Amino acid sequence: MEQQTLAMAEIFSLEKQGFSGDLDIARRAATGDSEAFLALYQQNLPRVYAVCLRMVADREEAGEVTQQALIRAWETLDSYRGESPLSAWIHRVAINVALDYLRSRQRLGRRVQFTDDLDIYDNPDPSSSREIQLDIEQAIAALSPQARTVVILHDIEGYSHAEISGMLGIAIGTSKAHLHAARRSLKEALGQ
Amino acid sequence: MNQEHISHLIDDYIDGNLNAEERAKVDSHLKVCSQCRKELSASESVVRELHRLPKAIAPPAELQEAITKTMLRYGTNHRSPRKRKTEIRDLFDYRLTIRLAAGFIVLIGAGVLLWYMLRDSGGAEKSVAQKTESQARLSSKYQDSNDTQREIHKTIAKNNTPPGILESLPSSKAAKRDKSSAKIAAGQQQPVAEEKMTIAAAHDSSNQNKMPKRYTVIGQIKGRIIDSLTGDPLPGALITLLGTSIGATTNLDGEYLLNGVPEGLHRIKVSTIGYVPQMSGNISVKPDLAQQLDFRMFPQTIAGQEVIVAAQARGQQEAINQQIATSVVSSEKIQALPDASSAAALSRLPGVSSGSTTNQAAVRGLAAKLLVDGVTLSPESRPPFNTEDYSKIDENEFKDALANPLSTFSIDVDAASYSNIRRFINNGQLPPRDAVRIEEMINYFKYDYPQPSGRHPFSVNTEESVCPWNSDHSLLLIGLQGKTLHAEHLPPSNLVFLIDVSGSMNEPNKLPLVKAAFRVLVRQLRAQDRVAIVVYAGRAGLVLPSTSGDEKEKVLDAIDALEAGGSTAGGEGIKLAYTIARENFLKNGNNRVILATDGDFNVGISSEGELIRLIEDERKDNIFLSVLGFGMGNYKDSKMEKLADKGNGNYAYIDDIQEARKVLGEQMAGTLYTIAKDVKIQIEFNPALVKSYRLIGYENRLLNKEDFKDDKKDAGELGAGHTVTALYELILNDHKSDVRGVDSLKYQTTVIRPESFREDELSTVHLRYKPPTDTTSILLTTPVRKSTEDVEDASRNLRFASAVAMFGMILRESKYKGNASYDRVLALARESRGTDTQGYNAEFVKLVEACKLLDARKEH
Repeated sequence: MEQQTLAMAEIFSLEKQGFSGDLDIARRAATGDSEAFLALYQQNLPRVYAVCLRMVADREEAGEVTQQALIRAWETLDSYRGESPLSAWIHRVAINVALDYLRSRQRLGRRVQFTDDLDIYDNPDPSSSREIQLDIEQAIAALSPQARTVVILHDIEGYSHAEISGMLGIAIGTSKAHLHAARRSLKEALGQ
Repeated sequence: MNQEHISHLIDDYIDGNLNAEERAKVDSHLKVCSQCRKELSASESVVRELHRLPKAIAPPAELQEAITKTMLRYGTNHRSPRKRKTEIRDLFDYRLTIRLAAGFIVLIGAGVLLWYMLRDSGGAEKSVAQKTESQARLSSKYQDSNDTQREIHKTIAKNNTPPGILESLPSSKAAKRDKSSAKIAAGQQQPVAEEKMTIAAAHDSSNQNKMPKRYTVIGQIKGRIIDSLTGDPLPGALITLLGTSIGATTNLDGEYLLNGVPEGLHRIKVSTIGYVPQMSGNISVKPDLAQQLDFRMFPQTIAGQEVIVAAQARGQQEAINQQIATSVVSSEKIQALPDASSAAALSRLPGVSSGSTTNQAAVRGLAAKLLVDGVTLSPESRPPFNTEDYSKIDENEFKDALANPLSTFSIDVDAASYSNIRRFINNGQLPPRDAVRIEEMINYFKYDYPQPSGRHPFSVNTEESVCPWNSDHSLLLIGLQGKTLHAEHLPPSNLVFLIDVSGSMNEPNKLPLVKAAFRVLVRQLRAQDRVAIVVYAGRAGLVLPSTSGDEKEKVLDAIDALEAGGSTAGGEGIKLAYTIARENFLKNGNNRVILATDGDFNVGISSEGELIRLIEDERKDNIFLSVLGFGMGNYKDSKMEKLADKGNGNYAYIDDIQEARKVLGEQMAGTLYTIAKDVKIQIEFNPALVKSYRLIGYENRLLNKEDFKDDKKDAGELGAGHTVTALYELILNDHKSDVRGVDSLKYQTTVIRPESFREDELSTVHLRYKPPTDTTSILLTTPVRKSTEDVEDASRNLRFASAVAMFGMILRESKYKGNASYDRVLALARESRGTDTQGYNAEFVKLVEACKLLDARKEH
């Protein structure tokens, strides 16, 4: 009981700080208000999907990661303190999930082959997806995982090198190097 | 000073990460260096493009739908930690009750103890007291853990059971525990206490393991993947444990096993082509416990764009063939590859996938078992449990034409065996030998015999050629073509649908398919037709009294309302159906009972003999019976064929809606309108030319030679437009001089008439039939002349029929199959497809191809 009262007090004090609407939705969703949760999910799905799709660079896996990300966000909704817009918070969770996924994919390799992905056969380049029509999207998908991650986070999602270095656990210099390499590759790919 | 290029600073320059001094330096360099200016502008334009990219992308509709479903499921069931607390508090009272119950058990224990104390001497007291005390302790401990267990159970059931999942927890174990706790309450003695001790111990460990301790202990998840509509197992489905590299593919029975699953909460994903991928909820994996998790997969319709095939098809085909030609993994390559198993090496081919825990390979679009160099890739190949029932077939043997010049059999227009075989092969299994009835396979297909021109309702056609599977032998074909009746000429129908709605029909490929099949039929009924519906389960009942064919809505509504449940009183249903048919009898019409069942009669008259007697009684009234077989697993093929046979009717096996459309749609006239009944064929062979003969198939249709003239003897019916084909394999006498001419027995002598040697007649076909409502038969006689043409010169009918016969003999592992092989079947079938407007012959070719891959028996 005591803990609960404390938590409530905390919430009330935070409400004054801004994003109180978000916090309210988050709180309602976290306590099992499925309507609130669905509203949240629908609102954030396209952004979460976009970042997952770009980072994973595979349509099928992106769907899976998106789902994982939304579930993770949902599970950890209690820890949202209203310090940033809820959508940004969810987005950040999605990036972490995608990063985890990329890491595990890298570490364990993919022993189970998803040969059902017909796109691979339609297109000579297995890393591209039909979804991503634009040349630049294709070029991003073709980058090395590190370069791709950094360029997505920096140039598309707008995180700073300092933030990226924190997320990926790499030095700021490394992040810059990856960005440089990524932009160079993209320039070449786009013939500029 | 500005000679040094600023390439390494360009990014920071664009991103605004430079301080004023650095910035000035770059600016001044840019003024003089066109190379760096160019680089900067290129970078800037890339960054601009990147900034311009949409930050939100709507997922494809099907994905969005799938995610929404999962989230909805998740959203409505999720409980935050805060909420959980209150629920646990609610649970407190419940626990208290349990504690009280435990206390009650202790009291009983004490009572027993008292009884012991009064009965036994004091020496035993102490030890008994100890035992009882420990029993009580264990008992309460057990209750505690049971309580927790229940809570977990509840949580899991509530939280993580998406609609697709059938079962999720070791409920049978829980049930067992409940049983043992009941035993405790009954006050049983020491052995029970011991049993409890082990249970309590097991619970202790499971309680400890409830804490998420990852990667310590290893568990299993297993289950079965089936099609939600048909209930068919889905082989080759891919199951992956999310977030790990653990995966498996299902075996031929749709079963999978994920081994080495780390303890903790997991989610699995099931994907198989043509179905919506499914994701499970969180499954808690514990050691010593294989979690059962079954999925029903929903077929996925992928709406594609219209495909226009232009003239480059040939070129594309060649390109595709080339691709296949290059997709070969040679044995050297397999050795060079770092793959763990041959299946993994194979999975490098496009369209082939393999699981990581099994050494099984699955081929996309092909439900076939794969073998590599004699190594079975499927982990276990135990025969699936089923109660399907097939009468043993003893293959016809060669008979001496001199000693047995007459071969007599009843026609058979049924085709059930073929669709049943197709079901097996499409599921990746070879059919049981006795499920293969070659005549039914042959008669599944259409042949181009001429329409009858004379007074008889059918034409008789004969042909002879070299036998395709044994060039020393000849093949004789006898084909009947029933007169085709056009819809406007069909007599009015009095139909009674007799539908099995017992519990065993409560499967996706049974009652729902029955309903769909009857809907196809009802749509074709005319105002002068009448239909009634009788159902039977524990007992029989009239669902729809005889109704005119133009009240389709009423009939369809009655069909839609059918539900399955209960036991099967087949006999009562058949009686009632015949009663209704008699009450609505149309004198010049088509009076028919259509039975739809899986044949699993188990209440009332169910012995085959009794049922057959019942049906034999009823058929005297010119009421025909059509039997439609449905389902698999407990399918009683033997019983149903016999029922139809005895009931003046026909029998079809409906494995899917396409087959329903064939039998009750396009071939409805043949299925429902008999143009000739009790059709018997008797062939008299000329021993001067024919040494011996063998009838292919028709094993359970053989008649004694005296039955031919006996009009009381029942035989097969011919429907409008039906064709019946029979094949004989003949051994001809090489030279007329070799013929013995005389066959002497002790008391009599068989002599070949001298004129037989002058004739070139191989045999004479005698045929008897009755018009549908007559009781006396009409005789037809057709001689067959020797021609012995090459197979290549034979008609399409003979070539295709012999291809089907060869396939049947391979499946039956017939000792007469000669040099029949899949390749010969395919060669013959491919070039004798004919017009094949419905694609059945092409489907046959595909089926043989699939079967060829499936057949591990090397000799073919």
